[in-house]
Amino acid sequence: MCRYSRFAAPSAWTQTRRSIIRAALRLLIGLMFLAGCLQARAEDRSAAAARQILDDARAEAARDCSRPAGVLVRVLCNRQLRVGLRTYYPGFSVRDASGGFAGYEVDVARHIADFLGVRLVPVAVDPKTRIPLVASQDIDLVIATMGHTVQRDDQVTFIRPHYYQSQTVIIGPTDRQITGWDDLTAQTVCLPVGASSSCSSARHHIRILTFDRPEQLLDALAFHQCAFIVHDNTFFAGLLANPQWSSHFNVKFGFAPQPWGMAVARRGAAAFASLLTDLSIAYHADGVFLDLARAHALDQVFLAQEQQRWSSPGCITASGTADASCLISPADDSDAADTSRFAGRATWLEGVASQWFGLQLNLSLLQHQSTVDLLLGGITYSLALVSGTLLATTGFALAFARLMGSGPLVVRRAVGAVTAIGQTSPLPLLLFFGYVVAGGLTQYTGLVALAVAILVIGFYNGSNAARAINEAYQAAQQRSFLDAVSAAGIQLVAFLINATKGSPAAGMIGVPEFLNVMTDLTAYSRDRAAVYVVLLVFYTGLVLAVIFLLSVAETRLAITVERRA
Amino acid sequence: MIGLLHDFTPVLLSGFLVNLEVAFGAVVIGLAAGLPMALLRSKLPWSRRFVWPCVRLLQAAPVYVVMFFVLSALPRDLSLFGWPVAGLVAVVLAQATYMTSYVAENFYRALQHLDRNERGRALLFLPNMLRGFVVVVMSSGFGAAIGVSEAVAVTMRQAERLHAVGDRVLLFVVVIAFFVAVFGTANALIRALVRRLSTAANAVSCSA
Repeated sequence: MCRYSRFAAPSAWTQTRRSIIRAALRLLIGLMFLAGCLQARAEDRSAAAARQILDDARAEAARDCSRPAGVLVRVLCNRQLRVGLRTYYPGFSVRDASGGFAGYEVDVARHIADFLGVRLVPVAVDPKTRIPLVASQDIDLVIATMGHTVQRDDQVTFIRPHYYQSQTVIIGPTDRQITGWDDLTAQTVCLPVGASSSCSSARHHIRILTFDRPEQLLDALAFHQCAFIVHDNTFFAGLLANPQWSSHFNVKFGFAPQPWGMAVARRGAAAFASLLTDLSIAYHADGVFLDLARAHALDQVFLAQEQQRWSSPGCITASGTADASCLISPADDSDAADTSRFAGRATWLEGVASQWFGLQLNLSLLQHQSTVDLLLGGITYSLALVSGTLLATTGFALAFARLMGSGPLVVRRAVGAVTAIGQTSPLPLLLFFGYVVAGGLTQYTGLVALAVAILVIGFYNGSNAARAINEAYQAAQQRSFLDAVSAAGIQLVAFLINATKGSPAAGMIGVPEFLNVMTDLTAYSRDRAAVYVVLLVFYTGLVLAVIFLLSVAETRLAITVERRA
Repeated sequence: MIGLLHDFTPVLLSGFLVNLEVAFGAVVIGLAAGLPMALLRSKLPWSRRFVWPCVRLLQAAPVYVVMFFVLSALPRDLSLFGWPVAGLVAVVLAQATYMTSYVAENFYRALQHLDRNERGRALLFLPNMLRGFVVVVMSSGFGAAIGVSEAVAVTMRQAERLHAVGDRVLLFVVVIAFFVAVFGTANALIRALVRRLSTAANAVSCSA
C-alpha cells in the first residue's frame, strides 16, 4: 500500500510543483527588485534633474552675480531663500514669541533651502500679501496654505505635484441645523480676507464679513461676532479634536477641495519652478512630505496617495519630469453661469487699452456676476455709510449742543463729559469699542457693523461739532440756537467732511463697504497699486461731492438766517 | 484685571510712543511740504492755480485709503536697521498728506496776517500746529489696520487674550480714560496758549 509520507521520496509531480514555486518566487523577487530599481530610478531621475538645474544655476551664479538672471540664480548669489510663511496656522506654520517659525510648511521650506545650500529666511505673509509679495519678487517662494486655483494661475506659477490638500468647511454652533448652502441664504458668514470662498458665498447670496487673520475668526465665533465661519478643514483639525471646543462648534458641511501649491513669480522663475517640480516629485516618492506631515501629526491620506502615485514609474517620464496626466488639476472657482452682463464690454475695453495705449488692463472683476454683485454691494454700503455718518454727525452735534446750551445743569455736565470723550478718543479705538460691545449684545452682521460704524463716527465728529456750536451759542449771548449753528457753520461742515473722510475706516470692524470688498476681491492681485488708485479716486470723489453739497447747504442756511434777521 | 492692567500699561505706553513717532514724522514732512506751498501761494499769485487744487485734493483724500495706497506702493521688505518699517512709513506718509494741506492752509493764513501787520494773530499758527499734531496722534490709530503696533493695535491684541466680554469692555474703558486724560490735558494747554496769544494780539491792535 502506498501511503503519503513526508519522509517518502518526492514524486515527479511534487518536484515539478516545487520547481514552479521556486521559479515563481525568483520571478517575484526579481520583479520586486526591478520595481524597486525603477522606483529608485524614478526618484533618482527627479532628484538628478533637480540637481542638474541647480548645477547650471550655480555655474551662472559663479560667472556673474551683479545682475542675477532669474530667481534661482539670485537665491544662490544672495545665499538665502526668502520664503513666505503663515504666522498662525497650527501644524503648518506658527511663529512663536521669539520670531521662530515651526510646522510642516516650515520644514518643507527648510528641506528646499538645504538642497539649495542656502540659508532659509522666513517672511511672514497672510492671505492678503502672499501672492503680491511673491509676484513682485519681494520673496522667492511662498509656501503658505495656498489653494491652487485656475484663477490664481494668472498671478503666480504653482508648483505641481502639490504638497497638501484641504477642503473648505463651514463651522458653526452645534445647535444650529445647517446642511447646505440653502440654509445659509441671507445669513452672514465670516472668512479670512483673500479666501477663494468669498465668491462661492456671494453666488449663494450669503453675506460675508472678512477678517485679516484666521485666528480672529475663532475669536469672533466664540464672542458671537460671527454665527458661522469659513476656512480650510486643516485649520480646524486640532480644535475639532478638542472635546470641549467640538461640544460647542462643529462642521456643517464642506465644499471645494483644493490642492495646496507652493508658488513662485511668473516672470524670471522658470528654472526655479522646474527645480521645485522635480524636487516635489522626489519628496513625494521617497516619503519626505509624508514623514514631515507625520512629524506634525497632520492628516496623511492625501500624501500617502501621492506617494503611491509618484513611486510608480508610470508617472515619471524618461527625462525625470512629471507625466501631465498624473498631476492634479487646479480647482476652478468659476461658474459657467456666473457671467456678468458687462463681461463683453470689459473684454472689449481690455482689448482697446492694450491695442491703443499698450496698457495691460485687468477687468476680470467685471466678468463675473458674483464679483459685480459684491462690488455693487460694497458701493451701496459705502454710500449708506457716508449718508448715515452725515446724518448721525448732524444729529449728535445738534442734540449735544442743544443739551449743553440749554439743558438742566446735571444734563449739561453729563453731556459735556460725553463730548469730551468723543473729542479726545481716537476714532479707531471707539470703533473697536463699538465692535466689542455690539458683539456682546447681539449677533454681529454686516448691517450691525454698519449701524455701529455710523453711530461711532457720528458720535466722534458730532461731539467736536457740538462743542463748536455751543461755543458760538455762548459767544452770541444765547441769541438763538439757529444763529449759533449758522455761526459755527464752518466747523460743522469741517466735521461733516471729516466724517465722510473717516467712513472707510469702518472696514476695520468688518463693514463690507467698497474698500473692504475691493481689498478682499483683489487680495491675490499683482496690481494692488492700480486697485488702490481706483479706491483713492472713488473716495476722494465722494468727499469732494460731499464738500460741494455741504457748501450749497451752508450757503442756504446763511441766507435763511439772514432773512430771519 | 488689576494684574492684567499692571502688565498692559507698559505695552500701552510703548504703543502710544509709536503714535507720537508717527505724528512727529507726519508734522516734519507736513512742514517741509506745506510751508513752500503756502509761500508759493502767498508770494506768487500765478501759482495759486495749481497750489490751491493740490491743497484741496490733499484735504479731500481720506487718510485711511491713502495709507493702503502707500502701503501697496512701498516695498514690503522695507527696513531700517533691520526693523521692518513698511507699515510705519505708510501711516506716516498717509498722515503727512493731511498735515501738508493743514500746514499749507494755516501758514498761508499766518502770512496773510503778517502782511496786514497782525503779528499776534499770525502767531496762532503755533497752537494750530499743536492741534494738528494732536489730531494726527489720534488718527494714527488707523495703523492698527495694517499691523503697526501702536496704542489701538496693542489694545486690540490684549483684548483678544481676554475671554469675557466684560473684561474686554473694561479694558477699552481704561484705554479710553487714558486718552481722555492725555488729550484732555493737551487740548486745555492749547486753549490756554490760544487765549494768551489772542489776548496779546488784541492788546497790540488796541494800542496801535
